[in-house]
Amino acid sequence: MEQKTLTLNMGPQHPATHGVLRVILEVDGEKIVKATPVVGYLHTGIEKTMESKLYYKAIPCTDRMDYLAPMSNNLGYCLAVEKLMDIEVPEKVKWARVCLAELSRIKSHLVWLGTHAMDLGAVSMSLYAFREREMIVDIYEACGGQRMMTTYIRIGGLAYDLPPDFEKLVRKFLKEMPARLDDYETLLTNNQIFIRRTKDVAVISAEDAINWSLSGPMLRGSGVKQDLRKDNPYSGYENFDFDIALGETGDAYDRYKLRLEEMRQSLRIIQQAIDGMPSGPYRAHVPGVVLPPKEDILHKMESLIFHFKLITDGFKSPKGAVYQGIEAPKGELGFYISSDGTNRPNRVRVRPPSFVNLACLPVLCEGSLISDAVCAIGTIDIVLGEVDR
Amino acid sequence: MADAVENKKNIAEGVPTVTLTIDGRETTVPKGTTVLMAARGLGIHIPTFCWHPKLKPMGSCRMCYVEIEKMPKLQVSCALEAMDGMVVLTDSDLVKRGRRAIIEFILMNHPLDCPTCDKGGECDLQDQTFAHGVDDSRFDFQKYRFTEGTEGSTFDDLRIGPEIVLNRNRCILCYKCVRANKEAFGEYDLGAYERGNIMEIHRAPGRQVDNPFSGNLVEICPVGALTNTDWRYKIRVWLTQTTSSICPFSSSGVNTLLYKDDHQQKIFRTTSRPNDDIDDGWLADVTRYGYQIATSPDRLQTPLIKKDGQQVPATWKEALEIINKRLNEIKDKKGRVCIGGIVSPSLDNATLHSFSKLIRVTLGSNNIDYRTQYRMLPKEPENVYDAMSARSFKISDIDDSDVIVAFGSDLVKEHPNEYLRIRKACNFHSASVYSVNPYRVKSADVARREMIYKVGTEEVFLNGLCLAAIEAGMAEGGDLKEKISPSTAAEAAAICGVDAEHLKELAAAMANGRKVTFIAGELVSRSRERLCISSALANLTRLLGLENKGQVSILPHYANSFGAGKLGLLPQPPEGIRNALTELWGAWPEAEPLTTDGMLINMKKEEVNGCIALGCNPVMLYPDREFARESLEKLDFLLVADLYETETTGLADVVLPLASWAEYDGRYINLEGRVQRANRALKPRFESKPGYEIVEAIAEQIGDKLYESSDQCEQEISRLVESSNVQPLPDKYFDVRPAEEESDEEYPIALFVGDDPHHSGHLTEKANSLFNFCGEAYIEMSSELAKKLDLKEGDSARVESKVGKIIVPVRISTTINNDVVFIPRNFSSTTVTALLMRKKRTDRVKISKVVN
Amino acid sequence: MKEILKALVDVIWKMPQGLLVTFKHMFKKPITLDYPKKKEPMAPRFKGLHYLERYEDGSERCVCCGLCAAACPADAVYMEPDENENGERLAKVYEINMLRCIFCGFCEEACPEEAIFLGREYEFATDSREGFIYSKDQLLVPHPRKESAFKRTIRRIRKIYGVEESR
Repeated sequence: MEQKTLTLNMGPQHPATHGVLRVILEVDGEKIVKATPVVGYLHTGIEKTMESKLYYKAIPCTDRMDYLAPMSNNLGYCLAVEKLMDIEVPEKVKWARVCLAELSRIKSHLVWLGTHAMDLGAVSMSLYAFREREMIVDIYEACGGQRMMTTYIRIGGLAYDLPPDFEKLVRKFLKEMPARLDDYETLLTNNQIFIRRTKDVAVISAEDAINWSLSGPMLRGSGVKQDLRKDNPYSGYENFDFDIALGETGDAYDRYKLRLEEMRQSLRIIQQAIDGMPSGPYRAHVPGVVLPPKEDILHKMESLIFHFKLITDGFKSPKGAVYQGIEAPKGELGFYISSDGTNRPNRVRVRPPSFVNLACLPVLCEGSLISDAVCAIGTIDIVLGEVDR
Repeated sequence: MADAVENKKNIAEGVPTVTLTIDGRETTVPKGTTVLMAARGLGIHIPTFCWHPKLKPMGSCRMCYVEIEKMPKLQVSCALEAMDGMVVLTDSDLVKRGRRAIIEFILMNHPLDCPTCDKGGECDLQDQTFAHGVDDSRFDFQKYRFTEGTEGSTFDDLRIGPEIVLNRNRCILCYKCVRANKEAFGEYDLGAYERGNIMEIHRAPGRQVDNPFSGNLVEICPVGALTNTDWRYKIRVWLTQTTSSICPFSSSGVNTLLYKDDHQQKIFRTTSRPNDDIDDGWLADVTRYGYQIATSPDRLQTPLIKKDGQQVPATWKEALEIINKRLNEIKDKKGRVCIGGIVSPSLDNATLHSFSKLIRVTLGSNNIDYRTQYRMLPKEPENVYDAMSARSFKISDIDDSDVIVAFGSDLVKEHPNEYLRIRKACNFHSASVYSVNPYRVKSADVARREMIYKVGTEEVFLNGLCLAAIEAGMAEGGDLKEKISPSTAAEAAAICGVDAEHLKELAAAMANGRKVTFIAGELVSRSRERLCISSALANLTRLLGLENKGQVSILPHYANSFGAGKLGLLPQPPEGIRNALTELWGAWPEAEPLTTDGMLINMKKEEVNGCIALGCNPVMLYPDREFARESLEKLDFLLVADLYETETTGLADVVLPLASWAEYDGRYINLEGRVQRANRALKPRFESKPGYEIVEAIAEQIGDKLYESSDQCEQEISRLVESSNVQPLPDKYFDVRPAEEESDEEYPIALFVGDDPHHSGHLTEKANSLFNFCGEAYIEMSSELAKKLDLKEGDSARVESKVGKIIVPVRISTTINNDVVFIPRNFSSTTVTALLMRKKRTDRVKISKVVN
Repeated sequence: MKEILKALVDVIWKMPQGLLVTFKHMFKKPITLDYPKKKEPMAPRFKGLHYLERYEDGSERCVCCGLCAAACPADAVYMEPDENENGERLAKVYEINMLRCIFCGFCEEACPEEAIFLGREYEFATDSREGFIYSKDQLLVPHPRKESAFKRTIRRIRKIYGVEESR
């Protein structure tokens, strides 16, 4: 009898695809022969939109790419523009940014944890993860007034100064979080159901991971020690003491442990940041690029003119191109901005970690069972907003 | 080094030069060039506030500081002449510090008005503060406010003219407005008063800033101190889009930029689009505010058709069906010659050309004319008047003419841009200007000699010039002397009432001038004796060889008058154009051609039964209102297309709404023969359609489409424009025998009719801003005459002629002389044409006071 | 063999530990809210529905300068200025399309007159698209009202932007 494979369509409206991802599975019985991800269902043209906007007006666009970690996106974009404009931000801004970016790492990992565990059957996990996420969202709300689309990190600093209760909120979070992480471990780490669904599933070797140019937990899960925070420190990460979590076998279980460890390391960084937060201005003083203080706008003619021109016309960037990569929760998030000397970027290209990591889905799925495809998608930790942009 | 060599190539032989170094680059410039201009030549931008390319430098803002080696202090580059061996730095730390200090100084008393100021977003002060200033201020005190005369205004705004609002707090005292007013426009209604902290720009005591160029003051203001009311508080500049266009009111074809908002489908303002060949970046107010005719809510909304003596709205389909039916009826009953076509010379080429084809090919009539406002038009083809009014002329050639003669033309009213050119030639190149008119005009203020000839003696004056030249031995007269009368210059001078010496002086200036520009205006083209005057002018041109060393032209008046002539919209176009048209269309109507005059006469005789008037208003503009009205009333069928309801549309059987010039892409030919494009800025308002679409629709309804596509029409036009060259003047002298001037004891005062300086044609009164400048007709007279008639400024005067009378308010003018009065023709509320008679050469009236 | 043993230990010993975590939560106060009846308190910087502030005398602060519209990344603000009898500039039309608005607060940041603020209202769903286009009348705070504008909002917002009170 002739052997035939069956083509099975998964998504784009499948709850386990975390959005509108479509995967075409070629199955031989219960075994996956080939898995082809199809992207583009959430294409919003964000890169193009950013090109048509003044530099500062593109920040809200970055929020909407990886909406689970908006602060990281803000940070990546602002660092890129600051590099282009050659702006040095005050120390306080650097520390605050590190603090916020690490919070967003925990936030992103919590959502990943909740949804991934839920995909594999552990429903209560998602409730707990979202409960803890709420604390971070509250901190964001206190900072920028927005819970998800923060737009808090700006070119040359922050939108406003850190709120007075920032330290209190963060310390409360730092106090409560480690115990919660322990709870998660109790729930999942030794849970035989979870282990059987994840151990030796979606395995990728270190060599493959490098060849597929993976980054973030996907790469470190296979034991490759690569982290931009250490390798190419930005925003003052060199001042912080933390370890890079590593996996060994490169399976989904390893990556689960690694992400939990990353959250612990993030807590360490946040602790250091909040303890050592320097005082000072929340914005760099760069006339003609950074908005003057609101107080001056009401009383000083020069400041009013600068404010007016910056809002209506923005600043002109020097000709050239910059690339700034940061270690986002999902991997290396890079912003490439090429400028033709006008007040709008000539081209913005985002290196989205989700998109690049998703490319290895065929490798992860090959030879596994259909139900393991769900685990493979989950373990990559994709956000379709970022994949499709 | 390469720059210096490159620059040297562009400098004419024999001009003394200097070589200097700017920012390490060597450059060679003609002697007398300023450092600023030398730097601009190298592409180095030096910021300025008070410098303007068309004005003399002043150096009041000090923004253009440069550092010069061996000079201890910073120097203002706009007023500093470049010297040999100068080493200039435009961007050194010292210069930057200087600029920063100047910005800080200027902003010291500047109010925090950016949010309310309309200049915000296009403000020089904002831009330069942003580029060269710092974003912090050390000034922590109360700012000085000018409050005098601004009671009731929160922001100390002061209305200093019908359309201009002044805010002295924002002024940075660059004097650009005062200088432009004085140097470029010759107006003195704005000045600088007081000194120091309380120094202010203000209107002259008791005056309004209402000169016909006042809009430019707003445009050149680097801050929001002067704003126009049409743009004020309407929209932000970054929300508008711009469309390049040209002025539809002047024959110069001034280049303009329309600021519009696509969302609101509205034009918000017009600014200049500097073109040094045409306009130097100055706009007359009629150009600047005239765009409002396109956006007025009074526009015709739908076609109107006459039902039971009443005009009622109809659809385009109904209207076109009626047009077809009625035109066919006339054609069947009376034949083809019974249809006439009158068209406005302000319409674009495509409209004019397709209209010409509609009348000549589809309707088969030869009655077509674009000249509505002239009486007793010549019937002969290739007459000397047509030749003289289509000479080649270049506006920019006025600049370096050393002798300029303005003959029979009130330039400010007719050709404002040419007037500014003449001023420029006078200011910058010391040209000798001669103004020759039957009454004193404003534009004579730059004249070396103003000559006032007696009303109706234009040809005698020109003959006198010829005679004076011959008598002084400046030219070989040949048989000219026998062909003209009177026989001596002295006699001619006596008839004209001018000094014989002056006549001789002018003749000598023209004969000896290096480059002569001779402009003749409306007083020639409007005159019944235009043939005679043109012949005299042709004689003069030939005698003194003016065409070889300058330019002579009777300037056309409307935006596309020149184009209409070139496209053959005359009853009998010159041979060349006629042949070209016959070749293009394969047909030429046989019938006897009629001018506007002839058409009106034949309408009265009921020999012309149908008429299409496209965009024109003969009842108001034809110089015999009753005659025109009676003639048009006798028509079986009158079709009028216009923007607004006018007196002529009131008589029409079918009225079609016409799109304004801003609502379609059109090409126009200016008086130089330059084809220019006015781009579409808006959608046609309401149900209106562009002229060529209307013509095509009519043609399609009657028979065939005229053209497959608009490209085909454009191709024909470009072939015509290429083929029609300037008509050569015949190599002979003309007979010029001046007619005896009839006088009338009962009506002693000569009346001149023309455009108000703020208006042009019959539509501009619909533009709100222009209406604010001048909203009704008036009679302009000298104070002596007013005294004689017991009239004061603002009194109502009854003006009577043999055929009509009107009542208009009196305006006392300081320029006009005692035996003439002037009434503008732009106002439908008082149509001065009611006083005119088509057969008269000089219109004479009597004036009395209206007693309440 | 060893693995099976370990798994057995996990099932018998470790899994009840996990179940204990969930079991313990039964005795904790729920963290969810009975939403329409009870509401979470908002942070002072919360960005909700916009409103236009007035001066103490009831006149509008907004001068329709257009900076909020220029700063808006979503082009949600539309305005047409007008002039009143004192030569003051004010808005004839001021509309915010709440369907476009992303509540980023750039308008508040851009406003040089302290006129537009993002308030705390977030429950403004309606059932028609037109209902989301807020006109100037809907956006302006009512006048008169009990507390002065300065006390109620401007002081709060100034604190956020670090404007000193003394001025």
